[in-house]
Amino acid sequence: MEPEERTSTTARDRLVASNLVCGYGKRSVLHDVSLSVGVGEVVTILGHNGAGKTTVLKALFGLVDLDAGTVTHEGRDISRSSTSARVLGGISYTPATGSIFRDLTVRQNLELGAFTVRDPAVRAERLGQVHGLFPILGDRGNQVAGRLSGGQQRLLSIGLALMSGSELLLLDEPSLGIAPSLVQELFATIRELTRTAGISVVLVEQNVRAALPIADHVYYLRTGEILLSETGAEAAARDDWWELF
Amino acid sequence: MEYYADIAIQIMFLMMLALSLNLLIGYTGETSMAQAAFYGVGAYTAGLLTLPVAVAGLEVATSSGVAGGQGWGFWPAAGVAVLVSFAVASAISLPALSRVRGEYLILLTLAFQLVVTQLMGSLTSVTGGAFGLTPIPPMTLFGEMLVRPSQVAAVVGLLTVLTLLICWGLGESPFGRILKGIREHESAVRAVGKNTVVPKAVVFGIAAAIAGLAGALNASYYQVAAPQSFNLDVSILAIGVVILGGVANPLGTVVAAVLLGSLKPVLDSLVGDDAIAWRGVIYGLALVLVMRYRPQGLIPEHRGPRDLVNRFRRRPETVERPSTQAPAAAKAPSPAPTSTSGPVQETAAVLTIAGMTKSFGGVKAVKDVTFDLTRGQITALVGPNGAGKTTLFNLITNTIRADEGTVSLNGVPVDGLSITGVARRGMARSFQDGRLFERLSAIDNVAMAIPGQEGENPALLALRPFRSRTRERATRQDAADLLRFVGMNQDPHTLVSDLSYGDQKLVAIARLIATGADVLLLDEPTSGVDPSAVEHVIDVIKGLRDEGKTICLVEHSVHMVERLADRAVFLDQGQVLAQGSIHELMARRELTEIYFGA
Repeated sequence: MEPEERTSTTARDRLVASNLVCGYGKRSVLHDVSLSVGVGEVVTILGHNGAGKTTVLKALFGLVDLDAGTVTHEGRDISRSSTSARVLGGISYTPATGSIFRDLTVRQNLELGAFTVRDPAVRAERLGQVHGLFPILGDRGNQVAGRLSGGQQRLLSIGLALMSGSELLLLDEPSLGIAPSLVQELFATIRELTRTAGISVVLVEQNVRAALPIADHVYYLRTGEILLSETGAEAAARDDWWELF
Repeated sequence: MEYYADIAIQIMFLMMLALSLNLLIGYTGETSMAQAAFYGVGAYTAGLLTLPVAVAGLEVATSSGVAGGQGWGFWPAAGVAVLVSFAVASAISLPALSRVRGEYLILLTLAFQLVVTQLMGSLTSVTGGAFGLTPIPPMTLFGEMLVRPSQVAAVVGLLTVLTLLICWGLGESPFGRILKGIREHESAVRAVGKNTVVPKAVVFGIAAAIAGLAGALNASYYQVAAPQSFNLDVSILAIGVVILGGVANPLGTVVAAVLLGSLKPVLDSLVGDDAIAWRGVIYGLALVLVMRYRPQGLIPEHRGPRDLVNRFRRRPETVERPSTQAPAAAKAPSPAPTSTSGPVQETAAVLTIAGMTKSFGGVKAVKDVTFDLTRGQITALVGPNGAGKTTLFNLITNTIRADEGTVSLNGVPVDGLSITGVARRGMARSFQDGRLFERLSAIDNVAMAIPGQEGENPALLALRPFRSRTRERATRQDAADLLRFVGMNQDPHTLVSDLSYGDQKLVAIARLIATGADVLLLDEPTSGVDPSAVEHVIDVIKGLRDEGKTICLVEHSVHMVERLADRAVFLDQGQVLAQGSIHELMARRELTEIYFGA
């Protein structure tokens, strides 16, 4: 399967979405969205409220049925695959809110994140990584997750995604409610993961200042259509990006 | 003809039970298992009042040990039956509803239902035991005794239509909006300054009162009130009708009542004597299939004639994002009679927080926090995750009780008040998690918070229906204006659950402003909002400050804090590390390292 032609990267495409059309009931949200994510790439989707950014992630994850278009993962057409099949295939999705198990402890949450990982050694190693990244999750390991502060719950939800060991992370607003110092660290970690482990990330983020420096590729979404796409460097050089909204 | 009239009457009784029960289950989100008990209370009350007076030496033809009744006419007896059902329901619900929710209320009403059924059967001297009260005189109208089913059907039909109108009217009124708010997030209803216990007790009473009326009609039509007509099965059937039809939609209830109510006669004519067995099977199968394929019921919420009309009148359009040019603060609508207590000195501390302390299981979440909020200033609470910022908001508004410390609003302590009371005194807060009413439109979310709505009182609704409607139109217009003011540019009739996260945050801001409170506590108002909308929100918040509001916000966007805050309070591990202007704080390295990163 030939990767779509693109200007900047020679990386092999891990995920290719072509001409996605979908919506909820009669309300059409995405009209024609195509994007591709290479191995080890961070792809950022920017757009105004209600542009359909979250819906793109949901479509890639199989939470919204496609009316038209295809999603190809590692050369395989997964347009009709169930969400659970996509998880087993190595895709994970972290929604903007409420993606933790509030009544379980922090530690149990993280272990559930690695639900699909059989090897206990791998699980332990990942747990170590997550604890290293967010020490508070280690300190509060035995606390019930619902008792964490809002920002800490957010960290936990990202920790859950990292525990899964997925090679493609779909992150919806990871910086939401997280203090600035940690936001920097978080994005640095995401970049690190993509470089060292070859993980690919699709990022939806309103914190443009923090997100752009780590983006390889940026798509601007407007009312369900891709308005423009460019490299991260081009986007970072631009200071009028919000006029694109 | 009379055969069909009889079936129609049975269906209409079921309809009355289910329509009123839908107010509880569908609108308020509280399930009652005792609808048939109130049906029975109405029937027995009316029966006891209308039975002929016992005359000494002359046995009244009651079948069992009942001595006799009061010999009242039907209509006064039915009126008393309605009042008794209302009173009993409100009385048992008040202690329960203020504390008990969800499954506990189900158990409580289940117990009440079983007790009532038991009493009907065993309190022979009053109820006539298993045989029931009989013969209850038929109802009379204009001096004529109604004995033919077709006559009774006309009367019951009229009252069923009346029930439909009442339930529909209540559901679509500001009162109904509060009920739906309770269903979605009771805490958020309280946070905008609305009492929730009274509406719950009232709606419980209204549902029971209508059941009581149906009971009175039932007793006089069949001329008997016997336990098996008012047992748990009947309660469950009514719940089944509500769920099958679609919660919070009276139209669905009507359809489902017709379907389930006509099952028996249809089967009787088709299968004959085996009908009873088949009825259970079909009834169960129908529920399972509906739950599987139409979980929201036959006619889901927000579907009805009005929506059809709206579909023609109003095309859901996406409004273009307006120029990022913010409207001047002067354009701010004054949605509510603001409760400003006269001009205070400009520098006066509006809110004084002193010595706030709170521990959760040994961990001190907030330690001896003291600071003031000043009128016309924006104060930012900043600090790392878990510093105690949201907890502090919870403490200030009495969402949770502090271990120590005091909060004074305009010099008056407010720590004894509930969150509702705090909001009414003029201090309102938003929630980090939004806590919006998801299955309500954006307009209804904002309208919920507007104070002083007459239509929230069912009695006033009944007394002045037209004035209430005019007022409601004005309320909705104010809500729509506020949504536009904060820059929410989607169709304001969209359900909040269908809005994007960023637009939901804007709705939350509009809802907060709508309370008309003088002191606004904003918990991460713009996280997840797109940059151009953020610029707009910044202007909105500045406009509010210039109007003289006192604002405190928790915010992680350095950009926001720098642009907005006049001063900042730096919180870490539950303690105030520093306070002052944002530039002073930014100049201190130890703080920036903790918070902004090296």
